[in-house]
Amino acid sequence: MSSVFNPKRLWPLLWIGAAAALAKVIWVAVEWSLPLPTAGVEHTGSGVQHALHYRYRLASEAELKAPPKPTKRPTPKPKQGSLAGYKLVGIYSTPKQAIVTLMKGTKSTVISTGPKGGDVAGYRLKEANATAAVFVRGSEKVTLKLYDKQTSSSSKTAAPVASMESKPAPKAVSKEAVKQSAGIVERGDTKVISRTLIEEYTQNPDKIWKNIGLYEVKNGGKLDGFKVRFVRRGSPFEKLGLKRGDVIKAINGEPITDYATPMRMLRDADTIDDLSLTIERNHEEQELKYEVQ
Amino acid sequence: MVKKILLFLVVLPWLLWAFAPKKELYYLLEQRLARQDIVLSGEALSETPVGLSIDHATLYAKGVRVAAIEHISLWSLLLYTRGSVEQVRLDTSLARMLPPAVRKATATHSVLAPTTIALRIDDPQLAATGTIDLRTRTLRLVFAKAPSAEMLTRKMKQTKEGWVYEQRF
Repeated sequence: MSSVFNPKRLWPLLWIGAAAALAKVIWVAVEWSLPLPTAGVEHTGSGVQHALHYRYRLASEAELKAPPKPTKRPTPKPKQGSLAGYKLVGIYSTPKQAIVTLMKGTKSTVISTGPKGGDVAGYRLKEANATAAVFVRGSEKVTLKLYDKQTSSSSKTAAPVASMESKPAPKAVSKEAVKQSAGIVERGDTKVISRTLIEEYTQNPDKIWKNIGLYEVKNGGKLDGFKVRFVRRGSPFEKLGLKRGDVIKAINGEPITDYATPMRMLRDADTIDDLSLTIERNHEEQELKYEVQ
Repeated sequence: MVKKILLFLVVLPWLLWAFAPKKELYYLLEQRLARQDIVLSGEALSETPVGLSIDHATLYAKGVRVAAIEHISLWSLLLYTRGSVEQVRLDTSLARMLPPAVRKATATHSVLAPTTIALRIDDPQLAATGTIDLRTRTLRLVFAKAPSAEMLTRKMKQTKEGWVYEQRF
């Protein structure tokens, strides 16, 4: 009787089956001796709740019950002087508001239109267009033309920086002027950071590390701010008031416990109007406040 | 008999890979990456006999949301291994510095060139080919045209091949 099925043909299958069984046994042994994790790692971030950009001091109960004390606000006296020597280095103007940057020597001042816009030598900003700004002090009106570095350097007999004009110029936004005002300027007690400067740094982060060195400060293995290793002299970070040894603890009131906080600031750079850095200097906490324009 | 043993030794590695607890091995890899503050979060896993698929993952590095990745595929035939990421959307905080999206990026390794990993980026805005040389520890990418991100272009050289990015690690 001839055999229909040859059992020798089963051998390769048996070998493969044995190998498969062996492979499974090996993995069971591995899992038994080295317990493999049964769940992955999930991100446990700070969530979506962010601190307010401003901090408010809440009144105590005693303060609420006490009658309000009348406070006298001293009326600021405009400083008298002239605009001679001031250079108009930047203009930003919209139909509603104009902001200009003036420089005298190495000191720069930013003022804007409106009652709280500030003044320079008693002059307030009335209006500005792409190339000039009009300042008023009482009935006196002075027009400053935009300072052109190239023209000034090529010709020492350039037109005087300040000229008297009375004709108001049409309002317009000057991109070139906005570029020129890039940087950090002091307006009274407030430091104003140009938005273009932030944009420049967010697009080229390498520039940041040329001007400031930071390293992580850890507390119990968790990030607890960044310590300033160095600040390049004359850099925007020096103008911000940062010094070697400072520990940046929070941005806009949000403690720096991960990299998400500084990254959020970069992401929101287009929309933020204020910036505050909580720093620890000589074991004391300080808050550095800035405006972003 | 020798023939059968040789066959057994050839088949065994494939079977070991086929029966490997790939999800658990992936979790182990995730734990190792988490030590370096790199986390893939919210992903859905599915095993195949030769690999693993990861869908809807969000990549975090040092607590920062880096990118949302629609699909990651890893598969290996031992002699040829391939990993690909599809539909990568960078977070808005990084989109200023790097290209905001990549349609598909693939890395392949073959025993024919054991010290090289071949790279390919398929994207209308960011097409590139390149290699990772494991001996010299060098990443080299050649872009057909300059990427829109200024941060990247400043680190590139324009050659006859295209825009070349080289980085040692």
